Amino acid sequence: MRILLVEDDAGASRFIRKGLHEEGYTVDVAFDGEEGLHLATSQNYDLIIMDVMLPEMSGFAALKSARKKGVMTPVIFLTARDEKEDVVHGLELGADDYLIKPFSFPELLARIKAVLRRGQKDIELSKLSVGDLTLNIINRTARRAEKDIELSAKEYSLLEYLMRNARQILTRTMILEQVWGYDFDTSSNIIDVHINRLRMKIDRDFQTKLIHTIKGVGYVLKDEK
Amino acid sequence: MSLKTKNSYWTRLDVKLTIYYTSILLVLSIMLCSFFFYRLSHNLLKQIDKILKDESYEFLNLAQQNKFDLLRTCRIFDQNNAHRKYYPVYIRLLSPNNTIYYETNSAAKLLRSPFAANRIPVLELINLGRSHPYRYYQDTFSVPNGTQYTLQVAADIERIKSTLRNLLENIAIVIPLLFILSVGWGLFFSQKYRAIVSSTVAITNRITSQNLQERLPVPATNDEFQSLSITINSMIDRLERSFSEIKQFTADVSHELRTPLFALKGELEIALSQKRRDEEYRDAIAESLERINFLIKMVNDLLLIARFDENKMDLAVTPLNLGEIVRDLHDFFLPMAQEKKLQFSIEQCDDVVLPCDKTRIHQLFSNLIDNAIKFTMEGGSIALSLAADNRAVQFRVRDTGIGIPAADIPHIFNRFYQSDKSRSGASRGSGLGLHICKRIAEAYRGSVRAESNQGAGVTAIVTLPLHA
Repeated sequence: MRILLVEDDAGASRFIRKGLHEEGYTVDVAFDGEEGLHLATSQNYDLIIMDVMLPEMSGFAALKSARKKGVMTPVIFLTARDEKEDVVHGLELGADDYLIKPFSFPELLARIKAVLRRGQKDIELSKLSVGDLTLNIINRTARRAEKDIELSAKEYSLLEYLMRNARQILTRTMILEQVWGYDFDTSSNIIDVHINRLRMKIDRDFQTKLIHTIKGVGYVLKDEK
Repeated sequence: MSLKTKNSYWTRLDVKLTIYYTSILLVLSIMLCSFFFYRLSHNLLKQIDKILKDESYEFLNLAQQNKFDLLRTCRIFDQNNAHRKYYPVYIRLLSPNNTIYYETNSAAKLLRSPFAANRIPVLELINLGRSHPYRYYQDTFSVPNGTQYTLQVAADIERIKSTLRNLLENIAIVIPLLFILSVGWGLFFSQKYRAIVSSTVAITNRITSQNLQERLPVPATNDEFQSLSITINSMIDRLERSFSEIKQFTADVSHELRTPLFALKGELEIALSQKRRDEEYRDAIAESLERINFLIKMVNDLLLIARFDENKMDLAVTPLNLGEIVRDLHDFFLPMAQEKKLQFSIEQCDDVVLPCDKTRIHQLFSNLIDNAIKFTMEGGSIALSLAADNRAVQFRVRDTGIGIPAADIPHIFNRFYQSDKSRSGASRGSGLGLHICKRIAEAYRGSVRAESNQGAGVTAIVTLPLHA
């Protein structure tokens, strides 16, 4: 997978590049809008990540002329201004998604995966499984090692979200947004409490723990140490 | 910055006012004098005319008494009139062929050609002009034998003319005098107001953001100038207040940012000060990340407040069932309350549909619930209620927590207000959460307040009007 990153801030572009590289993506970096447009039109990319405020040419302008030249590569915008009209403008120009700075890296990763998945045919699974934990999506029930696990509706939604994104780090903000639909950041440890409840049910009685805490970042569900 | 306009003498306020009022005074007094002059001269002439007519009748009476011996009548008439001191009267009698039959002695040189009785038979008043200020009356009458005579009676009106001249002279003296007095007085009185305006300008020019404590003197004039000064002063009061709020805010922000930054710096410095195990590095980095997340949340809160300040808040309005939101939030916070062994219940929950922004309402309600859970000790209780009447909906969060000192209650919704300054660590928030609650409630024309409970704890009350 080849990604073009157009970002003028050296610090930001360094960590995004490093993070994406570690996830196995090939990343080309452009530092201004013109260079970005040039690369976007001359090379083949699977995805473009582009800042809005860029020297030489704004992200919006670059996207507009790239689309005009027939480049249909999906685009995720990074914007510091969370003003609605900006976001709407970007989406109208043909962007696929946007992220408001400062974002956390796992969030960017999740957006990238979602955008890249978009083209593929979604196979609607009836079962999700990680290790010996299985989720029956039709009955909304969970089993681990042949043992039924009682879950409340919200606990089920939380587990389903974790399992659908297994091996991906999920931040508290992402969980709050995806499972509860709340998009404000809270300083309280409420998500930790919910995760701990879920742990009691799926991990407590088992040797292998599935839900792992990534300190300071969030959580990940995976079947390994 | 200061705008100094060099006023020329003629554009000065006092000079302009004086010119306006003096010219009005002049025009009005000239009009008044002309009117009186005209009326007076008209009335005086009318009087003369009446005298002349009377004399003419007198003559006819006399003629009748003397059986129309006209010559005799004329003489008697002249004798009677000889002693007339004011307005001496002259007569002239013309026979039918317009030859002079009789005339008063002195009349000959005075009553000249225009007298030719060519305008018979009329009652006519003729002014003889400037050089000969005479006025005369002419009438015809017939003697018993049928002969028609023309009688002309004239009077010297020099006296009237001189009276009027005298009046004109007086006017000519009085009007310039009025002009001088009006200019003098006008300048004297408006000088005072000009001084007030000039000092207002001078002081207002001196007032800058650095020098907001200065105030205008309030003149004891009890008029618009006084209220202008008072108005400007109260405007400076407001400016000073908001400037000091901004200064305070900047100081608060710096302080609030410095504290976590200092901790962050320390954490990382210590981590790097010696060789450590991977685990320790990981912990230090994770700890730093938590602090950074706290800082980011604070910056986001500040941005949100700034957008409220700029009125740029986009309060997208979709009809929301607030009851549903309260029940969802109860479910959401229940595990946290249970962990603290709190009794967490919903006392009342009406289904109220209100058009508002989901994120903001979540933020408003959850901040209050979160606070209540944070500040209630184990074993306490928290009760939510959502009740609506036909005008407003009220959301209450009642806790049995540590409470708030009465003196702090009016301030807890101010930015950066932390009731307990010594509170630290996990329970210490950014000091912006409750302020944001207040701003959100106000954005929907509602309010948020806190009340101390009878036993222990606090009730936070949000009131939102149902009809904006």
